[in-house]
Amino acid sequence: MKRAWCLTIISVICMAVVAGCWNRRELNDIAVSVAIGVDQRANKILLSNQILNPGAISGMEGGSFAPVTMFQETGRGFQEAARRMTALSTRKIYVGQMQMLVFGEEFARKGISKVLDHISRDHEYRKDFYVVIARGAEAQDILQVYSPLEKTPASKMNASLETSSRVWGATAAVKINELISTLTSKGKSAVLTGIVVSGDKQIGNDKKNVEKILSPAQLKYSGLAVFKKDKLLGWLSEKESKGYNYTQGKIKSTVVLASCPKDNNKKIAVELLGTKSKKKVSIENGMPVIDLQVKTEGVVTDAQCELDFTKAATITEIEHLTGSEIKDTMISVIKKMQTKYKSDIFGFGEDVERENPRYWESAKSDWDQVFSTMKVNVRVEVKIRKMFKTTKSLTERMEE
Amino acid sequence: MAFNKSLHGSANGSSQATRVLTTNLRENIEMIKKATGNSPDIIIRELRFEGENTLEAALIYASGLADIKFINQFIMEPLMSSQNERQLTADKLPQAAPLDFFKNKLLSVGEIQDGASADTLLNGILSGDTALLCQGSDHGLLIASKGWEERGVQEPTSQTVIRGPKEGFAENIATNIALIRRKIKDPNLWLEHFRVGRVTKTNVSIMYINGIAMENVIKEVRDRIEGIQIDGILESGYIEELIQDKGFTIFPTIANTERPDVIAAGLLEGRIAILIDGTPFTLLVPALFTQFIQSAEDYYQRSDISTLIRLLRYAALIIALLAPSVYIAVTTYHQDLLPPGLLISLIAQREGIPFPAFVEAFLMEVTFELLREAGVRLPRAVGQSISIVGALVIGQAAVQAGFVSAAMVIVVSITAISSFIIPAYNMGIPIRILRFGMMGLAASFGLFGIITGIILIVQHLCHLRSFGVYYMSPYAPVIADDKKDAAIRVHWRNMISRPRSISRQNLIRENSPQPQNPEPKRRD
Repeated sequence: MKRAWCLTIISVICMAVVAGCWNRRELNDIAVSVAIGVDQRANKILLSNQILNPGAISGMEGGSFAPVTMFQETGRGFQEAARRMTALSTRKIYVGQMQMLVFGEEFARKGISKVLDHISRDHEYRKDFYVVIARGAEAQDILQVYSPLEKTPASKMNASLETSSRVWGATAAVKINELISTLTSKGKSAVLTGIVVSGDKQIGNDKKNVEKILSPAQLKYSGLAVFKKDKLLGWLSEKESKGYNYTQGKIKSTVVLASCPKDNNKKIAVELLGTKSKKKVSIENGMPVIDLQVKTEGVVTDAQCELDFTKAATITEIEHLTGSEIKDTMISVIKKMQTKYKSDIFGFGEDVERENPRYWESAKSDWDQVFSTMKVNVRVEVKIRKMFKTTKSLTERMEE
Repeated sequence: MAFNKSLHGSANGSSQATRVLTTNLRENIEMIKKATGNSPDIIIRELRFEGENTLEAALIYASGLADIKFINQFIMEPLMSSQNERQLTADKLPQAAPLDFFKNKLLSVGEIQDGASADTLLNGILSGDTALLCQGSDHGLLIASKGWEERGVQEPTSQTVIRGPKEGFAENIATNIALIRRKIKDPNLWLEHFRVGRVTKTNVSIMYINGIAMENVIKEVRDRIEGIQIDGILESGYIEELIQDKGFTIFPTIANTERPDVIAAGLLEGRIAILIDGTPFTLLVPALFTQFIQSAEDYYQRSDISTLIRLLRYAALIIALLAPSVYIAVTTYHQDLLPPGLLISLIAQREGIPFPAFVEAFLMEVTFELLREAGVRLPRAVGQSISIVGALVIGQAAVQAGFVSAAMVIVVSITAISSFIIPAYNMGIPIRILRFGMMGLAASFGLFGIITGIILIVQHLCHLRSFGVYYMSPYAPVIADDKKDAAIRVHWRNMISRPRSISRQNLIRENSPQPQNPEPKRRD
């Protein structure tokens, strides 16, 4: 009994002396970084770190301080720059709560992997922040815009990326762990959402920006950036971005605008409630063929033309119109990738590998070439379930 | 302790003097006067029966302990009035054994003992009995005449219920035994008497139901009580510490209660009650960990309500033990566990706080313990002002002055409230102590330290035993059937057997037929 007590006490003392208080930091001793931007500066990188100013956010220090502050430092490597930054900051920078990682377009065109290695290696980083590209701009510009509604630019970017990918579908909410696994995969290339400052960049970094009802400078997501390996190749338009998301089955909800059957100038809007996509791989004449099937359900939410939804034929017609609209969108992006960029962002290579590993072994070294010439069949099935409160469109009722 | 020493000294002195009863009444009276140091509360009433042979006798009792009215009516009056009416004269008294004549013919009292030795007589007198001595007899009579002022049966103050009996034990052991007997009217409810304490000679009784309680446990209790060698027993706490199982622990391994219904329920489960004269707190052994998280009311309210409330208590137990330490660990080591919004507001609150989180929590917890202790000891009228000062000091001023963060005040308050939910006061104390240890572990190792602390506590609890019963049963060892009344409380209809961890005989306790639902009458 005595022996046991002695051993317990000795081990507790050893634990306390050997390991005690390692890595302990009080909440008011850390500078919480919420967003990091990376830009190219000649052959160095410029690191911009958006740091929370908690007093200003919780309203304890009145309105005199900005909700976030930014530290910048250049260096040859990511961590070198990050550590040099402590010469600026009074507190140790803590990245465990990071929400956004922004790459400048110029930097992304030269390759992002030199930064990602540190982020995937270091234990302090979370694996669930989003990565975006500053389209036609530098990451540091994006991080200097006051945003209305949300308190920090980082949470603005985070929230609007999540919302738009959920209800609009032209953005891709890509988290860091997803990006890294795509970059390491041979059968899939990465895409990242682009972000731009629309309006006057100079006013963005000023409190006046949020003092007006219509903010002069706003952060806005715009299109998808296409990658080959870790280098940015080019951009997809909004429509193409949506087409890409259809192929991935990532559209949770969106609005499809189709032309009216009789009048091309009038439009009919269908809100989609979830899509499913299925890919089937087969080999024909030594070439892989992908059968892409998209199933979706929708609701008519806006009809400008005269339509009588009490008739089954009308509904079938609208289903058909919506389906071909979706199909067009998908084909346009597939064509663009096959002909212009020759980068398999759809992950067809992964599907081929899963379906026919033997064939993949022979094709993987030259996959981009195979990808650009392979056949992709697209089939879309749309089911319209509801018309909401009115069966006949307003125009139809006005004529009656 | 000077108090104990003086008791001890006097006990030694008196035991050295030899006390023998002689046939000489004068000598006997002198002996008693000497033994009690001429204390004026020992009343010696001398009687003379005139006649051909004059007989001298003496009544001796302690004023305050003996019931004066009773003595006057049932002892003095038969003796004196019969003398007046010349029915009793010395010549009528049998010369050989006048005491037997008194006992058999004259005294209309139920309980009369022969006081053969001087010590028996003295013990009797000091317990409130009346001694009757006669010239020519070398023994005396001990007439039961106990009767003193005492607190009656009142509502228990330490364990209150909303639904359930409102009577609580009093200080008198006879009253307490009667309260239990009133609940269990079975000849198998057996009682054994002990006198413990060389000086105080306190009455201690054990009660159990023969045929339900385990023989070996009864024997163990009996042996442990008989083994006590101490000058005085003033409260059940003395007995509790003297008979509890060997080995150091801060957890209570003997339960105590003021409530006769709790004792009755314990007896029915095969436990053994230990009653101590002079205190309303009665002990119950063997005691299990789960017992301290249960309240009498759990059995009086519906089972579903009781189960939820019991689960709530376990949650409170965990909060009371861990809330400050988890707060310390998360805010100083694991900031990434917090949602961003919460982290921001916590950081903003901590801006400008001069102490590390551990020191902050420690100060607040100590402040709270001070207030709590002050609240218990102070007269009720002052208690009010303490709570006002406490609320202002820890609630408002400390936050406004920037010494502690508002979040810490919330954590400490939640902890405080939770610790009051634990029904047994003696289980609340180890939790309070361990909380500080856990805070230290959290401050030096983070969540890893908390987990280590929990493992150590659980190990310790699992190795504890109370009178041969594993403290953590029915969880360690697992007794599947007993779980019906541990963290949950099943319907009385399903409480078929007694807890197996306590007793393994006469297990079936309930066998009622399912009531038939009569069909509602149809209106024709």
